[in-house]
Amino acid sequence: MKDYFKNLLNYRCSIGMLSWILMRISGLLLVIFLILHLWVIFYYHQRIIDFSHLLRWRNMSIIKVLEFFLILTICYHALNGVRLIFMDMGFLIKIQKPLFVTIIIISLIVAIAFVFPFPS
Amino acid sequence: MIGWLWQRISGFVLLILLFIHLWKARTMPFNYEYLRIQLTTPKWVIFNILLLCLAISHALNGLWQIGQDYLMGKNKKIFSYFLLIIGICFILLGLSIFIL
Repeated sequence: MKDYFKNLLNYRCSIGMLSWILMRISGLLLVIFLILHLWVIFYYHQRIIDFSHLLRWRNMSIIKVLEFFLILTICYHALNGVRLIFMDMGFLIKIQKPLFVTIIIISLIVAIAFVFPFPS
Repeated sequence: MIGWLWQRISGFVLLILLFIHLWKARTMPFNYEYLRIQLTTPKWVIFNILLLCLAISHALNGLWQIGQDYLMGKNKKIFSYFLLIIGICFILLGLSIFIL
């Protein structure tokens, strides 16, 4: 029984497995976002009058919060994808785990920087 | 194999294109003029169509690869054709924004 939990932690809860499942979930979320994005643009393009709704929506705080999570998801998916390309080519395999933590930190920084206005 | 390779190539191109797309969305003022430029200037029309086609093919290729993990036999084939039809529909929906 003790060995079972030890093995479970070893192969299911490793960083590689975590990055794989997060990659899959973020990919599915981005597919849903892509469909919504195309649909909204199509809808507003057909009815130009209603475009002011879109402008009003963008100033709502809930949209800002969702935007933060969107950028976080995109950034994680993109940077982890680059990490996977490097690993498939045989580079950076020894530092893949610290690289995963770095990717998460960079994604958080980029998402925060995107949502808050520039200091200029 | 070709799906795996295409996922890498389109992903890398999308990384560059999406960076430009988000940079524009972040720095330019968001109003009707912005959308009008996006939909009529030839440079940005080509950019957006490329972005659309690559994003949809990347997304559906990803869904197809998830399907490879969980589906067996006949369902796999039905799922592939289903994704193909969905992809054509969405590319037509996207292109209609530029044409209509």
